[in-house]
Amino acid sequence: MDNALVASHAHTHEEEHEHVALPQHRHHFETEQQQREAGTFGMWLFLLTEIMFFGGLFFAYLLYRNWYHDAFVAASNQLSIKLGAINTAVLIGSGYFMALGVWAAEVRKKGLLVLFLLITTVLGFVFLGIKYVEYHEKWEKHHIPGEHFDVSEFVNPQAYGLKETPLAPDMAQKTQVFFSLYFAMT
Amino acid sequence: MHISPVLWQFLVKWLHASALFPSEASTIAPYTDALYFFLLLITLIGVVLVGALVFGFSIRYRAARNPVATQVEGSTLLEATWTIIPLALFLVTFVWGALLYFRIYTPPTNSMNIYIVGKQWMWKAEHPGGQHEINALHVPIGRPVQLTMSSQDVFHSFSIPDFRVKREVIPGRYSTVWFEATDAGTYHLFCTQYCGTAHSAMIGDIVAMSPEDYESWTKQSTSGMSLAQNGERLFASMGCNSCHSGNAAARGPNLAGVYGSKLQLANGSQVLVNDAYLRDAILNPSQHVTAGYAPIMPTYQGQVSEDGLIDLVEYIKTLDNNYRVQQTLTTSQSDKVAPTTPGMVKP
Amino acid sequence: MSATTSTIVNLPDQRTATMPKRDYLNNEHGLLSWLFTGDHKRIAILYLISITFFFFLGGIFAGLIRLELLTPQPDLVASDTYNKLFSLHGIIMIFLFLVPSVPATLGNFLIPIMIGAKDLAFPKINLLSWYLFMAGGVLTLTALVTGGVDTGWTFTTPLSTHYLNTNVVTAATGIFIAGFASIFTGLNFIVTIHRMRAPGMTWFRMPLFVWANYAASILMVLGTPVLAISLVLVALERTLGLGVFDPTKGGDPLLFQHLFWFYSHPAVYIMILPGMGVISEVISTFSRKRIFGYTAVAFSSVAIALFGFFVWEHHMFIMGVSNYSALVFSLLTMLVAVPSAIKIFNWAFTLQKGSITFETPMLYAFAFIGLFTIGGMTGVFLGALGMDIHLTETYFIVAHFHYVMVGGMLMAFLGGIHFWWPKMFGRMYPESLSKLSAVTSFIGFNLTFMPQFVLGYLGMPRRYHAYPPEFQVLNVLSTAGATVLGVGFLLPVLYLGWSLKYGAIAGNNPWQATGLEWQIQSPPLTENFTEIPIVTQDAYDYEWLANKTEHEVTTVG
Repeated sequence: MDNALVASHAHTHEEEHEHVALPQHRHHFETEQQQREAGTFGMWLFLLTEIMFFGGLFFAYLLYRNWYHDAFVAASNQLSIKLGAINTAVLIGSGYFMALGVWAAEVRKKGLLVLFLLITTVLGFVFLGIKYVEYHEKWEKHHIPGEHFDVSEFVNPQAYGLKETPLAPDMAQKTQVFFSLYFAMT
Repeated sequence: MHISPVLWQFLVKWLHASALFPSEASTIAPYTDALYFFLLLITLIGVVLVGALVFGFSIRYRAARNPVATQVEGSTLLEATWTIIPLALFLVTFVWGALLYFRIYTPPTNSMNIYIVGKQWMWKAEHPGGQHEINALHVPIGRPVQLTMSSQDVFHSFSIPDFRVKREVIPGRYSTVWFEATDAGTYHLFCTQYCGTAHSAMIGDIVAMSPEDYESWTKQSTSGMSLAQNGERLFASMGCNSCHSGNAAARGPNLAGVYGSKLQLANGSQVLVNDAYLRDAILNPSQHVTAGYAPIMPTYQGQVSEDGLIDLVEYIKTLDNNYRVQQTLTTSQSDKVAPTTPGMVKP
Repeated sequence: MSATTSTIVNLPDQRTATMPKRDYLNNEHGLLSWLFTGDHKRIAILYLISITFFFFLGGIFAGLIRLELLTPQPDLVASDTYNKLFSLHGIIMIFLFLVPSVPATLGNFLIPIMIGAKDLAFPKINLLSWYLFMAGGVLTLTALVTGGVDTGWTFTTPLSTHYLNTNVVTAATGIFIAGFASIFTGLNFIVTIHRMRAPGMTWFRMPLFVWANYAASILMVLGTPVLAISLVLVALERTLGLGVFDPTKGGDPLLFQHLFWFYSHPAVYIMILPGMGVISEVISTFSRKRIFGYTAVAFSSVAIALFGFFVWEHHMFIMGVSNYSALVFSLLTMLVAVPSAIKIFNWAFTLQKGSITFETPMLYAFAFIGLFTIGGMTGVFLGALGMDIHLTETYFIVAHFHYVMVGGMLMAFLGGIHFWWPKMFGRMYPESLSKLSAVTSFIGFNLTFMPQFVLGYLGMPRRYHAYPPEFQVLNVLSTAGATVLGVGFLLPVLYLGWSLKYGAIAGNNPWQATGLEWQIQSPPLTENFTEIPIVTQDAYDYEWLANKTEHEVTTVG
């Protein structure tokens, strides 16, 4: 769903990996166990900050969805569940391979490490590719907020061969808030 | 106020004369000032107490006099004391402050209404009788005045220090504040929310006048058309009356007498129709569909100015029977001004 | 030390004393050894230099603002320039000075030593945090030199998103990046305090400075991301035309304020809590006494941190929020004032039965207690709903937060710098000059900001470039005070700089304080401790210290 979360995953893993992968533990830790605990603890704490980071967005989404329920329903039907699901799998996959990479580094298997890192990178590009397809569709339909934003598809869905209930024009305008949040979040 | 009125008057006058204190020119001001003096008092006591402790101990236990410190762990009794006493004082402050807040933000039902529109960087006041003012507001003394305010662009804040009232003026919605001036005079009006380049020039004068002076002022400065009359024209020219015609078969609900009523909406909720509701219903009709009607009304977002909205709202407020709506219909066809009540300031 | 002297300063014999042969300052040489250091002490020094720079930059803006306000007419600068001045003053002072001030300098330097660790848990992240801070600072400076920014530090929408054409995005990005510096510092502190304490250093043996920084770190880690996301949304609205806060697109501009204050109110506690930690250390040391009610002070820090998250709406009482939510937030605001009161009284009672001396840090601590009491009490004015209507958005609020931030935090920061200076650099500063600067700042401060309370009640709005002439007398007083205050802040830079080379050699423990940091050499070794200490005593155990000094021969060098 969101690049930033992935980036931070990768980032924290790298930090940890950097500590653990060294032949001997860092000078300022008393024991290797202390070092490992500190690394894990730090990583979870950082994930907590990410929750707060996206918490603001989730809160905004919750609020607006409550206010403009119909617009959010109609607009969210525009998103492809299939592409979204694939992308989620791709993301989890890349996270998984990154974690495997950390493990490979810990047991000092260099070949495996390179392989896992490569897979992670490839999955990253796959993610961007799918994202491109999704965004391109939004672009063509004028669903990107701003001057060219166009609500005709929501006001008059039949003309576009959709089975949605038509929205009143003022409610249809609120789909712009949905797409604003959609683009901010992804 | 628990101190004698004579003493109070003396204190306030003296402070005001030495330019340390704003004048008390509204019915609310003495209430705000009472809380202010209470808070000043507990602050003073607190500061003196802490000061006395710090200085007292510093002198009594300075190293030259008390070379060896006695170690003390702490004291639950003392901890409890300075938890509970401040807490109690703060809770008193809270209750007092909350009562004051409700007093300041709950307008009396008999207050007269004036519309305020804020925009970068001026204040526009629109009286129901059609008087328009820029950066000034004339009000009668001895009569509660409610301001219904909105902003055309950014956040502004409408502040009259001598009345001790202030309220944010927010783009896209109405906010209200009320006051009752007690002394005739001219008072500062400030925009207190930073709003861009000429923020500090977004000021004006509040002119509080005796009811007689106010009466003559309204007569002199009327533009000839009341807000409701303007609204009526707008209502007709925008074609509102084609649906809101008041007929039984009309596509839109009848607007006569709707203001102040409880309305059943299509989504099942019940709302009180006030200025803010009417404004919202014009801009976002699909969220305010009256039960039994189809959501066919287009939005007027971006098509009516804030001033136009005020006119429309004021017009709908004056619609008390269907005859008036019928008259509008005729007007829109004959292009004549409909007979209405004279452009008086509505109570 | 004889029993009748009025000082506890215990310097080694200057004829024989020498600086340590090896310490963290001379361990490695050259600029690169500083720029790539992982040593928490060196990073603290880097931070100290950078924030001092930003402090004086922000101070220059403050000076210009006060100079403009000398007369009621807008005559010194144009309105737009004035708006840029106060915006940059706020942005620089808050995000680039106050937030990192005590945690990133003193906290960075002292927390590992105080809990008996060799470094923070993640030295590289610590260094990264300084680079992020500098990147944020440089971006803000870029915004400054390429035309400034005039949103005010609050970035209120829709003003910031649709109505101003200054460098809002650059400045927002700068703050966003500096925000991550603060997140990383907080994260590092929390992990270090949880996982790196020396054997025997239990939670309740930690100095209160550590507790205070721990509480502040929680706020940094949980609050800053929310600020970051709100600024991202502002930047996206400006650049891509998203409509999350735009009323014409169905967004709600008040939502921005909710998100912004969700960080920015806790940010106040991020700034003040570490300062409170400094005060605890200083008061204890100079009254030779354990802090009265150690646990109460420790838990009040945590209580402030927790309550601090649930009071943000008190910045929005007049903005048409629901009356009932206003009630709840006002009540919570009253509750958050209580732990601060507890701290004040505990500090006062620490003095009781002590053996008090009045060195410079102690003078700053007294200034803190006085000014913070006034700052805190005026906060209660603003938390009371009805009172807030009249006072908010006026000079009353300006005076209030300057009493807390400058009177509280800055005094604590200066007190802390004076207290740990001999530890950081191994040399003493001239005592009489430093006392003079403490007194000057105190007088200048009150002269500057006391009139502003009165102005506020008179109704003078904040951020006003021009004002009605009847407010002039008080404004002139305030400007005069600012001049005195400026002198009070400039003096320390001069004599502290001088002391680096010419100051008397301080020795390990000039104040005879109990903290672990005072038991090692000054300046410390890169690895702090040659051997990790085993802690058997509580914090502020002066009997333990006396015992130890008796049985040990202290050597310097």
